[in-house]
Amino acid sequence: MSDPLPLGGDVSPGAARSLPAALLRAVRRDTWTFTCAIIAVAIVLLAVGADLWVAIEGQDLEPDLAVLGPNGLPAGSLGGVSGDHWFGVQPLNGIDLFALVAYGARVSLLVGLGATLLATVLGVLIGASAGYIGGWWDRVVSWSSDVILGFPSLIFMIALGAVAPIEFPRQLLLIVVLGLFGWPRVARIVRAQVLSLGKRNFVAASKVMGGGTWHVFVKQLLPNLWAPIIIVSSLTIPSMIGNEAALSFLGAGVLPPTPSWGRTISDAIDFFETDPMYLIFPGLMLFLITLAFNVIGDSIRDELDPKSKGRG
Amino acid sequence: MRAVKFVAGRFAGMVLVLLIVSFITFVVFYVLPSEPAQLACGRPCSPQALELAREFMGYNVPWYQQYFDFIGGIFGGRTFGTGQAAIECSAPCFGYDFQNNADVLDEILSRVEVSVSVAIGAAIIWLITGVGLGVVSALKRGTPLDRITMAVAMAGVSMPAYLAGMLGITIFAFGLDVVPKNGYVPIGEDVAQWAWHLVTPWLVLAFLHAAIYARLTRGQMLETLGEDFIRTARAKGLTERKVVGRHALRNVLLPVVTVFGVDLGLLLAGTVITERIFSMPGVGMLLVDSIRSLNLPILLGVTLFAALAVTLVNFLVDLFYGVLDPRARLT
Repeated sequence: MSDPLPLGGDVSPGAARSLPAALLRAVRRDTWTFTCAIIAVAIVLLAVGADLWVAIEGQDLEPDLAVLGPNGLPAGSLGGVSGDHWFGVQPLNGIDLFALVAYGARVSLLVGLGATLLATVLGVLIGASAGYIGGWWDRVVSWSSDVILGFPSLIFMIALGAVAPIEFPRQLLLIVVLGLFGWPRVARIVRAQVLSLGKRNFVAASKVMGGGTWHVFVKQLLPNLWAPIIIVSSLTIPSMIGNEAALSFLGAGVLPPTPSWGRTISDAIDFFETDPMYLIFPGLMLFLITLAFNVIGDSIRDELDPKSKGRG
Repeated sequence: MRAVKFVAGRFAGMVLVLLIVSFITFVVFYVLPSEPAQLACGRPCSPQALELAREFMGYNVPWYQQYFDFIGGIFGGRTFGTGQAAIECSAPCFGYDFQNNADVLDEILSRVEVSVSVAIGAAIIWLITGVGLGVVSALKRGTPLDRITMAVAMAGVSMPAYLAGMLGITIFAFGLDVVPKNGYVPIGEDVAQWAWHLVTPWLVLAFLHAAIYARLTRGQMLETLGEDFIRTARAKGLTERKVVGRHALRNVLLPVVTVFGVDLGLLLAGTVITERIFSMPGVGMLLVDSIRSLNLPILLGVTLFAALAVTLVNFLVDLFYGVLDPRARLT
C-alpha cells in the first residue's frame, strides 16, 4: 500500500545505462543494497522452487492433527518448529507453515510482478502517447490519471473482490485490477519525460529527416525512456505485493485453499497471544520482500538518476 | 472574480468525477453475476418468490434504469416495494440493506465517527512528524541522525499496516500494558478514554505514512535549499530559521500537499485495516463484514461514500493549494 515514489515527472532522464549494469553497480557500492539483493533472490528462489523445497522438507499442504497439542495449538515450543516442520505448523489443522509460506511466496510474487508488468506496459503506452500526440487525448489522460490516483482504489478492490465470481481465477483478477489502478503513476512520469524530450533537437532532427511517428517513438524516444520506466516499475513491485497481501488479509484477495501471506497473517492474528510464531513467519517474509524491493528500487534510482536525492 | 472561477471550475470537476465513478462502480457491480435478491430470498426460494424479491429490491429493470433509480434515490429518495411492505428510503438514499433492514447511509453515518477519528488523528500526526523529520534530516544531511531517520523511514514504507498494528498492540497493550488492546469509546461519552483507545491506531497508521513524507520532504528540502532564492535570502542576512522556516518550507509543502491529496485513498484503506486489527466498529469494519455476508448494497454504498469523501477532501486540498501557491490560481 505504501509507495515511496514522489509524484510528478521529477525522474530525470539520466544516462541511458542498462538495468543489469545499474543493478550491479548499486549492489557493489552499498552493503545494505547487497544484503537486500540477497534477501530478494532468496525469496524468489523460495517461490520458484516451492515444490522442491517442500518436498525436501518432506511435507505438503495437507492437515495433520498428529502434530497438534491437546488444545489445538502446535505441540512443542516455538509453534512446533522442528526438523520436520521448519517453520512449525498452523494451529487447529496442523498444516505445515513452511509449505504455506513457500507457496504463498509464489502467489505474492506472481501477482506483484504481473500487476507491475501490466501497469508499466499500460502506463508507458498511455503516457507516451499522451505526451507525444498531445491535444484532447493528453487532457483526457492527465485528467483520468488524476482521478484514478485520488480514487480510494483499495476500497473499490475490496468490494470487487467480494462480489467477483468464484470461478474466475483470482490471481488473474488481482493482476488485472491492480494493474488497471496502477498505470497512472507510470503514465505521469513517462508523459512528462516525453514532453521534455520532444522539444530536444535530436527528435526534431529525426522528424526533419523524414522519420515517421512510430520510428521516432521507438528509435528516438524509447531508448531515453528506459531509465525512468525501470525506476518507477522497480518501486511499483513492493507496493503491488503489499496491495495483494492487504486484499487477501481482508478476505477479498486470493481465496482458500490457495495459500497467501495476507490470509495467513489474517488467520494468525486470532492466535497471536497463544502462538506468535504463526504470525511472525509470514509477516516477516512480507516485510522482508517489500523492504528488499524498496531498497533495490531506491538504489537503482540513485544509480540511473544523476539528480536523485537518495541516501547520504 | 478569478477566485470564484477557480473554485467553480474545481467544483464542476468534482461533480463530474463523482458521476463517472458512480457509473463505473455501478456497471462493474451489475455485470458481475452475483444475485442479491437470491441471498435475500432465502431457501427454499421458488422462482416466483425470487421474482418478487427482485421486484421489491428494484433489480427487475435494466441496468441503466437501476443506475438512474440509484442516482435519483441520492437526490430525491426512493421507495422499495409497494403497499404495506413498502420501505421508505429518504434522500439522500445510498441504497437499502435488506439483510439488516437498515438504510445504508444510516449504517455508514452511525459508524463514520470512528473512521474519521482514526483517519484525522493519524493524518495530523503523520504530517507533522513526517514533514518535521524530513526537514531535520535534510538540514543534518549525512549525520547519523539523518541516516537513522531514513533507515526507519525505509522500514516504515515497507511495513504492512497489519504487521505494524500487531507490533503496536504487542508492545503497548500486551507488553507494557499502558493502552487498551482494542475497542472504541465515542468522543461524546468520554474524551480522555476516546483518545486513550485511539493512541495506538493513530501511531501505527501515522508511522507507516510519516515514513513516506519524511523521505519526500527530505528530498524536496535538499533540492530547494540549493535554489538561488535561498542564497538570496541568506545573502540579505536573514536568520537560518527564517530562511528554512519561511522561504524553503513553503516550497517544500507544495508537493507534500499534492501527495497528501493523492494519499487520501490510502488513508481510507489504512483505516479499514486498522479498524479490523483493533476491532473498532467503523465504516471499514462494516465493509469487511459485508464481504463475508455478501451484502451488496453495503459494498456499493460504502464504495461510493468513500469516493465521495475522497473527492470532497481533494477538492478542499485543491483550494488549499491555491492559497499556498499563488501560481496555481492563474491556471
